Amino acid sequence: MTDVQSGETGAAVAEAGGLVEGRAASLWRDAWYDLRRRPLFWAATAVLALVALMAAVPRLFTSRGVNQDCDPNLAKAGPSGAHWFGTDLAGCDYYAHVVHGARPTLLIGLVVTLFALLIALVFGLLSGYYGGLVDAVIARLTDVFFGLPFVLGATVVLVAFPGHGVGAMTLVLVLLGWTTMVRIMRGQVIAVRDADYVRAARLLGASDLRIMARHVLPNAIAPVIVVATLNVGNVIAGEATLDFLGVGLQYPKVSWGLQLNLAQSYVVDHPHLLVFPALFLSATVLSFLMLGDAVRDALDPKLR
Amino acid sequence: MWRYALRRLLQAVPVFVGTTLLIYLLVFALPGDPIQAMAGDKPIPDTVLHTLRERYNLNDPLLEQYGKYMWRLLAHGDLGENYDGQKVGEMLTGRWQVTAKLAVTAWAFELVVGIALGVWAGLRRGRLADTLVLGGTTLLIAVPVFVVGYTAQILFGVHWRIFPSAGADDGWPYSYLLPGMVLGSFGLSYVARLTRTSLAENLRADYVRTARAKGLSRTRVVVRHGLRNSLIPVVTYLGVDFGSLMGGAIVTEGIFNLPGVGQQVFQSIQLKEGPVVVGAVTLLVLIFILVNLAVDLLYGLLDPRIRYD
Amino acid sequence: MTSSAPEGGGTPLLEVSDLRVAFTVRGREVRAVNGLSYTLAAGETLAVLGESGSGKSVAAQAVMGILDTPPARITGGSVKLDGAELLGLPDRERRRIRGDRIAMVFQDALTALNPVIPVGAQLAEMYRAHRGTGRKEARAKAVELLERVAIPSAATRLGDYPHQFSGGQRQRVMIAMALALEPDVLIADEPTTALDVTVQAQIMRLLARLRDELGMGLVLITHDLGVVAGIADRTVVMYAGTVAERASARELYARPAHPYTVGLLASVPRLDQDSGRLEPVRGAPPDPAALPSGCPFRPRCPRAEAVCAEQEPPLVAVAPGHEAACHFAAEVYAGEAEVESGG
Repeated sequence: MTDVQSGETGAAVAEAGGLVEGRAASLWRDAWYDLRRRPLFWAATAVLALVALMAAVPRLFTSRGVNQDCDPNLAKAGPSGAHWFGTDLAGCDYYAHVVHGARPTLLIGLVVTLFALLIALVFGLLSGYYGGLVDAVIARLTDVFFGLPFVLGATVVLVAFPGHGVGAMTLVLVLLGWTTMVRIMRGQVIAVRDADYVRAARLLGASDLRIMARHVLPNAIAPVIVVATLNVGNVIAGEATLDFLGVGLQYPKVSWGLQLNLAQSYVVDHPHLLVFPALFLSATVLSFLMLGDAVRDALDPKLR
Repeated sequence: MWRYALRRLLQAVPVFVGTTLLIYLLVFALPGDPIQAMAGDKPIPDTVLHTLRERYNLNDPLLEQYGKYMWRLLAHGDLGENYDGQKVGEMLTGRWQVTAKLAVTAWAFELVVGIALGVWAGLRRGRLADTLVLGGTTLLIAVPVFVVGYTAQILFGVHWRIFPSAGADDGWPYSYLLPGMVLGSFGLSYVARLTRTSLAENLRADYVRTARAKGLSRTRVVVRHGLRNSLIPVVTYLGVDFGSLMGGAIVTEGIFNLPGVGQQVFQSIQLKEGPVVVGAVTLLVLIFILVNLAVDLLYGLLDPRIRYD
Repeated sequence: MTSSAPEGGGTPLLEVSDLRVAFTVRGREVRAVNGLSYTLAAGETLAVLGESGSGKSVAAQAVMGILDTPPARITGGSVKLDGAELLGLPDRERRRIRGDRIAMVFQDALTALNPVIPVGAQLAEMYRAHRGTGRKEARAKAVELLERVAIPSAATRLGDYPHQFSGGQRQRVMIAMALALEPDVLIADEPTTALDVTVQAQIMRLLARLRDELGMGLVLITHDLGVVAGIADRTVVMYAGTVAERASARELYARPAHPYTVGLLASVPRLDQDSGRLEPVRGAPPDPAALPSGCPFRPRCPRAEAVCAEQEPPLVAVAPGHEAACHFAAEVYAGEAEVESGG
């Protein structure tokens, strides 16, 4: 309570603050109580935990590195005891490839969403809290970026983009992917902005920054978190599509999308080249979508 | 209505300028040589580099470059040219019909089947049909379109031979059915879910109770009073969806070897023909913006409440 | 006008007896209407009074046959129109009666009218669906209807949408729609609650005029005793899904026999008494899922005694045509002043 003078108002603000925190905290507590009893939530969490472990410590799953111990004579062989997922075009172990593909895929999905979320929180707070000119400028900017469909926009930009590493991909995907969350955040902030406890804090002289951080943000963030969770899945699917098209990560990088890109001419005759990366890719995306759906349902029973 | 239309048109202008400028900046104004970047590691003769740099006015100030680029694009329909001097516009001749047929097939599929599934689930909320539709659509959203494409091609085209597996030799609609369904599968999921949620919501609305009190038949109550209102969010979604539809067309035409604009982009990416990709995709983005404008106007027609504010 | 006494022999136009409606909410059964009975004659106005949650709207929807089933379920009783039973009729036949012979006006016309269909089409729909009338003729009839409820320049407004009308005009449109096929019975569920006081009076006058013109029976559902004072012939006071008191309107206002009615009257400003303070009925309406034992009004009743917790009071007659469900009905009826002095 550094920004209020008298102890009396300090106590009042503390009370209002406690109320706010209590409100947001109980929202999440209720949601968690609800989530715990959903089998789909646990299934999604289990899949994601497995994939995360694969991304963090691939050695736990395979002793082979990427493109290690390849035997060109065994190219495109189906699954067998020695090669669980078969081999790829160059006769390398496909299982090791899939395991090592988890890291860039998951990393891009999470980092892109994290940055997009940060942009959304800042822009959404400024736009919704101050309104007026700030809001108008941010809204027009959002419109412009929103006008670029994801795959088309990313394709045209990436074709001329210097560099196709994880960093470059992340940058482009963040650039094209922040708009939806800003719009949702803005709407939430506007809904919270005029609440009594925010007015009370303002009357008592709390600074804008403090009001936004302590009162508005905790009460506006829930729907944005839901969308962010769904967004991780969408980014992963989108990134894989770009890899597949050939404008994303480039060989010798490893990712599930790239794996499918390399296999594309052969999948009809050698379906295992399609099945395994596609399975891991789809299961990961699906898990993020189910997680997001479950959290949304838990946070807002009305939407069910 | 006319005032609404005019306002929408005026609002579209800054978005149009902003979006095209954004593409231009990201393609031509990033550090490094955009012409070389488009070619990847493919060696380009110096003379070609020089011509292309002239061609895109890369030696002029930035905004002037953009102005000249847009002028040529809009006034002359000039999409630029490839490294070998071939006009991108000419490379796309004859390909538009293919893409249009595919897009229409996909759109029809996702609308008809999506709305039907949505109504089915919406009328049986919380029951088996509802669970099936929700689960199925989540799955379709999660599986990337190229995986759906290959799976469908292998199963329905190669294995069971229900549809042609590739090419456009059988003409419309036969050759376009499988790729159309693949392309529409993503949008179908959203259409079904939107229809379901908004129908279930509208069926609880007061005016549906009124419609029943009027003694109307169940079909009439559901279709005229429930569904009509429920389709408004679906129509709004169709505009956004058109963007992913065109992105998906690149993938789908590539997989099914349909000789459309998407296939040209697909192949040009593999061949590192950057200018072709940039030209064709820029045009697709412009079409997207126009389609969205049209959808906005349609929205005004469907929902009288927004016309007058 | 026909006699206002349904007891005067013959078949009543509408006869509701011992109507029971229950809802299943999360596996539990909640009884919303517990044995509602009333009769209605042609040209007569019956006011059904009660707080929100008293079951009056649910009962009306059960009579109309537009309850959502599930979760609602009609668990007993009968609804007869001109002596013919309506409950248990096949859907098709029930639908033919709805809108045609029994029509309903809802509380908030803004949400009760379809926002994306022009009002002309919503009116014409009545003729087209029930009578198979052609487009042109239905349109002409829609204009007549709007004129009948005094919408100015009716012909030019057919293409307008509900949000383009004022609140009072919207309710007039709603009434016009209900009257399209000249029903025998009109049920109006809180028809004026969403409106300004001056507009309320206009709408009530309109309803009274149309009732007389068409000779229909009017069931007026409201929580507001003031609204119905001038128009109702008879009244039924509902509490917790059951009848608390039943009397002619004049009797009810002059000599209520149920403590709940006494409380309701004390909460309404009246011109015929020099009232001091207005007293709201204390306490909140009971939760229909957890009704108290014995008399449902007991927890809020100033006269409650031990017997009230043990026995549910039956409806007893305190005068001809005047009944109340209270163990002390006779005392309340006789000595209203006593209660008032206590309050």
